[in-house]
Amino acid sequence: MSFGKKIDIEPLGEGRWARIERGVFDADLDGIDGQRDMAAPEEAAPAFRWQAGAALVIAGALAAVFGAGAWRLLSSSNAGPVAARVETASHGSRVEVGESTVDVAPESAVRVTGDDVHGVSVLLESGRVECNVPPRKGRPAFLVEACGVEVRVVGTHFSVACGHGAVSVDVQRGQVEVISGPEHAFVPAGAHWPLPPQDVVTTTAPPAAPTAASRPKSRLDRPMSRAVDAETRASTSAAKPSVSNVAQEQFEAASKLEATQPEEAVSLYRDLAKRGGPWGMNALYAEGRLEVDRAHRDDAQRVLQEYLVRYPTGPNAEDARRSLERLR
Amino acid sequence: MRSHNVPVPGASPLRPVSDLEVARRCVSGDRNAQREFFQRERHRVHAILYRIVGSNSDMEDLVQDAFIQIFRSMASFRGEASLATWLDRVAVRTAYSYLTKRRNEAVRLTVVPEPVSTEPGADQRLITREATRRLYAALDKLPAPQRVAFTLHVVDGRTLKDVALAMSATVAATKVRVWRAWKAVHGAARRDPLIAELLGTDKGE
Repeated sequence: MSFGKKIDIEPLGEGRWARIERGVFDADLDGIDGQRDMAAPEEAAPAFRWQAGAALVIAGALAAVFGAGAWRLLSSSNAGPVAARVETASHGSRVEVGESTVDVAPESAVRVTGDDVHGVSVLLESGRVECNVPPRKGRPAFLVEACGVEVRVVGTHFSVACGHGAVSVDVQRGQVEVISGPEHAFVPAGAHWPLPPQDVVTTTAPPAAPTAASRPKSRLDRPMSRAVDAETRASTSAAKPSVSNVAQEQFEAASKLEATQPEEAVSLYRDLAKRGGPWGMNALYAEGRLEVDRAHRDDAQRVLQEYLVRYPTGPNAEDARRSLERLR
Repeated sequence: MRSHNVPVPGASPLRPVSDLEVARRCVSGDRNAQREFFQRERHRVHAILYRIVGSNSDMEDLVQDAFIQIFRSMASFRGEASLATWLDRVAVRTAYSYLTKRRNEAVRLTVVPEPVSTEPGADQRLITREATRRLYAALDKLPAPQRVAFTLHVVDGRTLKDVALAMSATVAATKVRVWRAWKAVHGAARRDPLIAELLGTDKGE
């Protein structure tokens, strides 16, 4: 018996597909050439297995001789992107990636890849890491992923802990963006994530300019359900609706209408886009994406081109360019 | 890229030549071939993942992981089965791995906004959607092998043989998994009329 036809498969919008494609081919650059055989060891040729085994033995011997010091030597030599896994026992360890440092706490496991040129990605498998990241100044973002939660950094000092599926983030300096499924939160200095329920406020999008431009891939076109920044956190007690709150509400309303009343959604996005500001920027891209989804080619091209003219380094500029390429 | 299955002298008639060619180009690092392959197969991979895990906030990451695995292990494709079958197997493995991993996680995030509609049939779609959500909530309690076998065979309508192939299992083992999952789902249907209606049974009988 099959009742699958009764169940509609929720489609992924072009914006999401573009993100997936970018994610696949970004990873592909690091993986398919160098790690193809590692990913399918059962299919690897015997000769490669022998070479890989020998390499592992040599690496093991080097690690035994140089210990943690080898890490520092390798990472500070500017020899190219780092790609390694660190597992600590009773003592912690420090990994230096370009100008950033990752202090791995005892009893932790972490995978670090990339460099300042290509972007740094830290995958915390368990335990805790403390990261000191200088301002990115237009360089690709520094990302930390822990138990499905992504922490996007633009220049700060913070720590991330992961254990039993739960993640916590503490920020000592600067501000980080935490993405957990559909949730976004901006965690300022001195704050902790996840926030206690009374501290969660629905509020403004982040000021886009200096930090958003450095994001290689942004999820800002999704409606933000939770976002907290330093200023709004300070004024939480007041909790008065602001212009930005209204803009966010309008954005979310438009987002909800996309599937059922797309014309209305377009109208709301357009109205927001005319008013500018961070939500206006997001709305302009969302309008373009929606027109792509609706196969309104001319409208999509017009809106996406407008987005690129107005926000050439906006968080969705890359998505917009990719969509335009496809439309041509 | 489109599959033409052009016969080549000396090649096995059972071997889909164009599949091998596609795989060869992707493995050689031909970025255009990889992107074309991604565009061609993305909906297939998404559909199979969706059938197994249901509506899920992790879907974007799951599809991405599946394609990364597909490209990384494409060198192992020998053409014994079709590329589509091989693709299904990798997607199933990705979903299986996700389900196994997720069982250990303390927090789940599956927020899906409910659509608001005044169109005819919108109510029924909302009911089906809610029933589906409840069915997948019931499936969440099953071991991953049972869930995968059930969703592929019962929800997606694949034959037991195809499911067994996709799961790298025997038909007998697959049959047992489906049967056990059915037993649990029937229990859920007896308690929940929405699930019973979705399954097309009367109170799960």
